[in-house]
Amino acid sequence: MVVPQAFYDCLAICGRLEKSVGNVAHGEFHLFAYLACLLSLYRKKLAADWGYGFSGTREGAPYSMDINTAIDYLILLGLIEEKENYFTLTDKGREEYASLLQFLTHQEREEFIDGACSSSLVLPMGLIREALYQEPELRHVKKLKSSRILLDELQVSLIHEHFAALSNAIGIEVKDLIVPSVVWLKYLFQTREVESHPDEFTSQH
Amino acid sequence: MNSQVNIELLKETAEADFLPAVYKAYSQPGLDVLRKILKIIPEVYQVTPPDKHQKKIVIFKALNDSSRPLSEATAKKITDLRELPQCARNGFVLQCCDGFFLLWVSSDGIDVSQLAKESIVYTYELCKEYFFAKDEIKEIRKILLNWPSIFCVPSFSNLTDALEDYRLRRARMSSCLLFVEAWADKSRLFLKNGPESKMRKSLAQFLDDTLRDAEVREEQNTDATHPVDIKVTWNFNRLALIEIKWLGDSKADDGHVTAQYRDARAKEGAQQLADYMDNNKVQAPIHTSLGYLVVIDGRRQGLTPETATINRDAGFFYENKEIEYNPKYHEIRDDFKPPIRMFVEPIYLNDK
Repeated sequence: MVVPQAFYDCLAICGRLEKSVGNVAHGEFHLFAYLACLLSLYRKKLAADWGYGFSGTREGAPYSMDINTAIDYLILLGLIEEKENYFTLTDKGREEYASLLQFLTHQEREEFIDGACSSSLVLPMGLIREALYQEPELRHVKKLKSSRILLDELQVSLIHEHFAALSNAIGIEVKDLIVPSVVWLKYLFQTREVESHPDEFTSQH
Repeated sequence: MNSQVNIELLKETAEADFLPAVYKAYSQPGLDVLRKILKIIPEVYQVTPPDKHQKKIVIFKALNDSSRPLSEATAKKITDLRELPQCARNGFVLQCCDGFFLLWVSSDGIDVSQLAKESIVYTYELCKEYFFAKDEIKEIRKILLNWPSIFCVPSFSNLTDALEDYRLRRARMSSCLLFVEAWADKSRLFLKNGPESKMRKSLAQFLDDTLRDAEVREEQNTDATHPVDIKVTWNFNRLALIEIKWLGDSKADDGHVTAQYRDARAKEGAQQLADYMDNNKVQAPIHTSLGYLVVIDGRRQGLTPETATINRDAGFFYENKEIEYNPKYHEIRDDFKPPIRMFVEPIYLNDK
């Protein structure tokens, strides 16, 4: 069964990323959908209200079965097309996206998807991926080396702790989620660097 | 594994970042304009890489699109950024307007702070980048050290293209902070003893920065005793194993030559990779796997342990000397890509 939110999110992610980086890889649908979901937590929404769930793979990557199903369905309907493992919207897909955007429930998701995808304007894809893998939930999964459901109650409270600190660090209320999204990703990426080369980092900064 | 927030680092990151600064200066309209500049900067660097310019690059967009803070009379109006490299060879100023650009071919004497009073301004000069918005000035912190700008990191959909770019951009002139450490001397005649770890790190870092949707991991075991240099995984079920071999002469710190690797070493690498691929079929049967042999070629003609300089002929003697593999695994196996030889230039003396 196709989850409508996942269906919409895939169209929206594809529409945005093809503008910034030309197309979307399969894993990037999962990655940006997960980042968008996290940004909804930044806005103090409930993870349960996102519409579909995520698990972490043993490699520490976010994955959603519902996003997977939605991608297959979008291909079947001719709304997205694949070329050498990368996806773009078809004309029909663009029309469908514009039509779905008229619904309030979808409009409400736009700020999160936009905040997530806009980070690709500032940061290379490789860096976004590596940064997000440092996020507390995914780090935990990677540590366990087994796949598990993400965003359970305990882990969400840890993410809220991160986001409260992030909000304080930014110090101003910004409606546009590109700001917390980019600052947080840069922070996460640097935590990896600090852990790999603590001495170099201290001397550099 | 620590999941606690590093408050100090988080604050430092937020304070140093240009996005909150732009918002403070111009609120949401500022971020809207910034988005447009952020889209244009990589397009500019695709046609004219920033490190080709010794003088300042200035790219700005006014909050009010019709505003012309610099004299329009001295600007060239362009609609296609591909015109840019022909006109601006050493620094330039580019105003991004809706539907076209205004280009000033020199950035000499430009007053950036004046421009920033009604625009968002990005500057690049000698690997330092800034954003200016009203009185806010933010230097972009270098978090990818091997690139002159975070906006010129290429993005590759496939590994072959990425390896080809690494060959030209990084290996050829040893222009990577990690790779350069593999050399024992400044003329790039002798490699250090055991240079493979530097080469592996350099290539893995490059692939990590540039490959889309792929996980890059150094030194992965295909079984308990055979580690492959780099493993790249896509979409959980496709993977590439990369074996790196280097050719040339290496020296220990005391100056004695520790290894002299020639064609046979590359052929050993091919055999080794074929074995990895066989092991991998057992270890990861559900993955579609491909093997890549990367040969870093630092061979020089006529080196003796005392050689400290080289002329062009001897330095480039092996530039086009391809390696004859036997067996040619890349022709007889469907999981073995053609080996990629990356010749590394020495610094040579002009006199012969």
